[in-house]
Amino acid sequence: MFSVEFDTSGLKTTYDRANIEAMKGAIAAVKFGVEELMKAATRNLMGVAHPPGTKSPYPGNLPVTRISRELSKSMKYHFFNPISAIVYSDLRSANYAAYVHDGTRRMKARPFLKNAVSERQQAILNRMRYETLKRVGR
Amino acid sequence: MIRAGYELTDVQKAVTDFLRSKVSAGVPWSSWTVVEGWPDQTVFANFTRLFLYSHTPLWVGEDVQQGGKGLRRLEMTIGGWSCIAAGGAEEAAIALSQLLALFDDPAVNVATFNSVIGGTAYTAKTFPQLGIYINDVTNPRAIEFRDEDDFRGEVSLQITC
Repeated sequence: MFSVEFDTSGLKTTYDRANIEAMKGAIAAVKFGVEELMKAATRNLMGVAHPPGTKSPYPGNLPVTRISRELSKSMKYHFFNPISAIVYSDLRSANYAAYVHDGTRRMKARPFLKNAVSERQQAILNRMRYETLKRVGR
Repeated sequence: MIRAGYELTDVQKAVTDFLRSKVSAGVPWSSWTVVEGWPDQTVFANFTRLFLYSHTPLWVGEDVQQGGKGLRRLEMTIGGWSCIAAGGAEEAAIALSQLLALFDDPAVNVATFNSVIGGTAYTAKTFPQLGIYINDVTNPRAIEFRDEDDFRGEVSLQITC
């Protein structure tokens, strides 16, 4: 009688390790993404400062001009879990954030968050690819 | 010859002209109007029809290619703005679903339209013939403010040129 047995335990270990390393890459990339979006969105809110009641020196354009600085201070982030997070403007600090972002009949939209995502999405995806390949490739 | 060296506002003009061609083509588009850029107060003074508006595109990156300059990747926001007199939420929903269907269909890159870009008139050209490629469109995002009777939503176009 002749029989052949394959020992796949090594393969499984490699597979599991690759999964763990890929997850570590994703965690690092999400952290990078949150930092990048916070930086970019805050930058979009750090325009010229001017006193209350005076006209904006460049109305309707980014970066949003600062009067009270509440809007830039309202930028927050929250991690739901290590690979899922949100960057947002806290309406409790600046309840007018949505009006500034999306515009109204009397005010042009200044999408400080949406533009931050558009500007940084490729960098974040590149970092995700790099972090994952760097670890899995070991 | 395919046009090159686009300014961001040129791309905005081309997309706006394309929307204008749709508006003049037939229902349901013919019930709406098109505004290039952010609507000013004259638009709201006679606000009885839903209007479509277009933001200036945003430069988001560049495609890498060997042996030449890569195409620029742009993201452009297009919105539909309705009020009670213009048909309310239902009209806004129709406009946004039409925008989604229009730009999600690969046929958008073979549809012909007339456009005037940078003082040059282009007759019956497609987007690729103008050097513009519509790649994708995002799901509509509703914008609602409780203290206003306006109904709005926006989609984002991914464009290369």
